[in-house]
Amino acid sequence: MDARLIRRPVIDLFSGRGQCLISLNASSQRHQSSYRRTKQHLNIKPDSSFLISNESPKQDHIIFNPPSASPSVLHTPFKFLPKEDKRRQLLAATAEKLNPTPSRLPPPVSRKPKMPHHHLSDADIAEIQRLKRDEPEKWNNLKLSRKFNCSSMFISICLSQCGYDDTATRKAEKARLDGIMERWGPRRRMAHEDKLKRMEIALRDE
Amino acid sequence: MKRLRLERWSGQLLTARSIPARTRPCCLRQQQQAALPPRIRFSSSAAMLSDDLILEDGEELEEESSPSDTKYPSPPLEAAFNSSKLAALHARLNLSPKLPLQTMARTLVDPSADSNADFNNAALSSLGGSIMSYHVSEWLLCTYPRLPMTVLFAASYAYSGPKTLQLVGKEWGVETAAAPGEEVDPGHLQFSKLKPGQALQSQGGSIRPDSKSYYRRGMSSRVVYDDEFGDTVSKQAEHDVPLPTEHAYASFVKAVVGSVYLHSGSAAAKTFVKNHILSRYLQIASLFQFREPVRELSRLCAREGFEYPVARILSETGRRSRHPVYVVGIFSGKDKLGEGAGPSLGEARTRACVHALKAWYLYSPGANVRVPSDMEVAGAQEWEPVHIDMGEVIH
Repeated sequence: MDARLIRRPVIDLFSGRGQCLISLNASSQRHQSSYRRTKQHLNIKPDSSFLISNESPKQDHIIFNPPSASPSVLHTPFKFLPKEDKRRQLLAATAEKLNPTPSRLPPPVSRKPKMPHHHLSDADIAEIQRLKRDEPEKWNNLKLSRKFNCSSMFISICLSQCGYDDTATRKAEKARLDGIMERWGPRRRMAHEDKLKRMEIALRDE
Repeated sequence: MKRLRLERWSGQLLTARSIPARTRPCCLRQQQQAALPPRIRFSSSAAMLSDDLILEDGEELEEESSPSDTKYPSPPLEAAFNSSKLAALHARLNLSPKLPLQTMARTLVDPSADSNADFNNAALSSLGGSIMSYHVSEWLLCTYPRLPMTVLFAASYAYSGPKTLQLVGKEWGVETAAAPGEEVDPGHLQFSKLKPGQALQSQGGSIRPDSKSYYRRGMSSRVVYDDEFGDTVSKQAEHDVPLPTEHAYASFVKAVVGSVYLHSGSAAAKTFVKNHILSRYLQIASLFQFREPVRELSRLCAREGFEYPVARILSETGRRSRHPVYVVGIFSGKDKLGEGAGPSLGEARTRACVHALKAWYLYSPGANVRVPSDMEVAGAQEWEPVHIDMGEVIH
């Protein structure tokens, strides 16, 4: 969690409902130029659960066919329920029927193989620091991480205490990146600012 | 309107006899004026001042006391019976007839209007404020047992903070008097208003021992030193300083809760808070703000013994187009924890992690979960312990 205290305008917080009218107006827009075409356009095949077939139950029943929407945060996943919660038994009974366990999981986002960690000894760390001290220009973090087969994050942690002063390098690198940003045109600059704004909004989940 | 500082005029008199500070000097002056009918003010819940009056018997009062000085800073209590606004407010709030109109009138007098503690709402509002914050916090803690401290502070501020209480007071139809005084209708909220553009007066510093500016004010120290909203408690609130309207409304609403408690009991006060404060709809899910959700979720899974969370692509469209959309789910083992959509894989993953974390923090045992004060009712069922979480994720 963010450690700052969150203060939002109270009016915004208490007026969360009442967007029904807008959506109603949006759906009643007419895009076709004639009545026949409009009717044809809106004549969508109903979902199979609405059609009566031989498999459908004979008595009165409820059709549960919600429109697709992003899931609500107020639906706690089964794994997050505490042990003493009564819903655990209920969900465990119906979970197999409602959402059966997939045989194959979807593909992961990052296919990068994970770096091995906790495999370097103290001697290796001393060697990393010695190489950086002796030839700082030749051994940058990426080269060191390739040589020792560890993450560059770990290299930077090791080198933070090796006694090598890298403020000049940092300053030069920042000047180089600032120079690149100076050459950006209005489009790229605006796209970059929008991206930063979108990430801020994503952290607030709006 | 300039208020009369009657206390100051007879200050030397009072210090000579070492009379308690709550004595009202304008009552003393009444005895000299035999022509005027005696006006004895007494508060419904405060002691009568007659014992203080006796102390002054036989004492020579100074000559400059004239009939025009007999002004009170707030309306007299018998005016409460003639005020239609006050009766309407009492009826509108559906209050019990056990709560008299005098007390109702007293809840509307702020200490900035009348500094006498027997006639203003300071005591009622501090009583009602603690009752209200108790019910709000017990409800929040039992309904959402995993809320982080920042969100808990923000939620209790949104339920019972001064801005919300101002909304509540205005919805009750209470209006403010232009300036406090004896002639004001007792159905108006009386306080000395802060002029527009005037700076808020500092209330004499905070009670924190580490009030220097360079000290860090972390969440744990807020729990110990600060009030129920995580704000500093001022050292001594001065009574005569003008104050913002929302604070006057807040102390009025709190005083109503306090007077309901005094006259009708704790069950009635709880019902009153439930009906007027807790019945409001608050989007608690919108109070969250994360800094590093991916890392926080992985720490959470490590703490609770779940498998390491992995982001997986559920669906995507237009990867090579200008506006791609990715739907990413966070999986711990085979269970999906959260789901988010975004224009890039990184943003979709961030949103999915935020979603999973919110689903963790917003766990609720149910809307009608029992709170500790339910046990005060006679014949209540045996108490089942509520879920107590080990705390928010520290990363």
